[in-house]
Amino acid sequence: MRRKNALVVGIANADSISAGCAKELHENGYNILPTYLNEKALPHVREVTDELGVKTLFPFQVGNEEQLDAIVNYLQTNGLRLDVFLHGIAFASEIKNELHEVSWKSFMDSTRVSAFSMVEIAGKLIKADVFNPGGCILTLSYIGSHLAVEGYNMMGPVKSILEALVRGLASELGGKGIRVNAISPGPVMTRAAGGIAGFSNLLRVAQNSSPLDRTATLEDIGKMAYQVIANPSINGSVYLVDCGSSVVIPVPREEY
Amino acid sequence: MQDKNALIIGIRDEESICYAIAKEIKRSGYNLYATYQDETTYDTIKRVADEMGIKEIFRYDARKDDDLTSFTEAVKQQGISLDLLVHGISYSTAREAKLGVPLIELTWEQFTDGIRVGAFSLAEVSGKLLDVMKEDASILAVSLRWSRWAVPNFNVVCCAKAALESIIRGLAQSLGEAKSIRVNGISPGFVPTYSLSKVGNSLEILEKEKNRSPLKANVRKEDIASLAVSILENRSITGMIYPIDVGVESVEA
Repeated sequence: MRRKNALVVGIANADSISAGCAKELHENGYNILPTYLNEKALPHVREVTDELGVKTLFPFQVGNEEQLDAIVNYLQTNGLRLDVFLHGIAFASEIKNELHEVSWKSFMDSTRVSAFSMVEIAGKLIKADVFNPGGCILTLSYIGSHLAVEGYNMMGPVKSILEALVRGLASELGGKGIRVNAISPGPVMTRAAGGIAGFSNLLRVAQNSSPLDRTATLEDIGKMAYQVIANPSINGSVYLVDCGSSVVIPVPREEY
Repeated sequence: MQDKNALIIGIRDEESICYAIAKEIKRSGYNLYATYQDETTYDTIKRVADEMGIKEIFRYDARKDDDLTSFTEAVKQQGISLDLLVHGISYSTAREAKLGVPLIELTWEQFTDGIRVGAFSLAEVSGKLLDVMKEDASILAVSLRWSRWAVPNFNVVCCAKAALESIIRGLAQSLGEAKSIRVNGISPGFVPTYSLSKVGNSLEILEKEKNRSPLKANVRKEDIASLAVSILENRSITGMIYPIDVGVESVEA
């Protein structure tokens, strides 16, 4: 049987949520085609992908058409077609600014990397006919799209755009048999999370809000990612994986 | 008594939702200020302004950095301090808006245009005018239920409205902390406006909407305006987006 192929955009190191998802895909028989941001990031990405039997990695930075063409070229010359496109990148230069102090330039750049790149990459793959019907696009979101999470600032609206794009692409690519979904994990200490002010407190708040008194593990997030990817009845949805912390408002019993 | 001032961004003509809201605000005793997009719409807004007694209209095309700066500077220079800010710019009425186009056919520039005009302009204007907003001032933006559903070929609008609602919540937090400013949204059902005519056959859309409503009626603009002012002046409401759609959203399509 043909091995299925997954393009994974978003592994920075072993802590990345994309790494957890790639691992799960690999365990389920997928051939992983990862990208890396630049030479500096490459050794950290390799640490993850070496264990997944990956031979070829692709440099990719959002907006670089040549790099995207190179990926398409590689797929075409090797007779490979994609079944999965995992989108797990985000960027926000002014993440520490309050929302009303964010410049349009920064908001725009963030929207492109963290949201619209999913459309750009998907469009390229589909137009080049290297994405299989029945395939699935999965992206990573966060509950900040629905709630104003202090310190998450401009990324809230950007994730809202991302989730609207998930629904939008799902509505427009259904005719090609392509499904589009997102998973929305609770906070995880990744490299990207390091840029968010008060992130260790956010982790603690999430844990305290969880009826299970813990936060989501990479492994469990990866399992859910695989389920959403493999399940042909799931489309246009955003699935939370956060140990229940977003459905509870915690109230301390002791004196404040 | 101190003057009460309101700035309305988003009056296109007498059919605009913002026109109805502005009228209601005026009736509640506020001085009105407004914006116009560019020369192509100046005459219409001027006519409306004269009729309604709007004190001044400022030029503001939400995709132009220069306009943002000059318009907000002008407001400051005139010493206008604001009690209310209403944002009702719809991307669909912006010049060269890309409607009826699938997402993967949109360029990055086209997509980003929709986000700035339809959503981020709220954050930009609020930020730039923060200095002249009074403590306890109130901001209201006009959204659409498309923020939560996909509409094939119109998804750039859906994305803009999703961003707008998220920005409402974000600003409710940051401006609330900065100056006790409240920030809310309303999400009206379809009413006959210039904006609606850009997304399809207005009569068909309104008829469909009417049939979906448990009341078999369309939303009335004066009701939207009445809710808008009520939210703007209610000091217990912030970070909310209220639907006003004769029940359409609450019923399975």
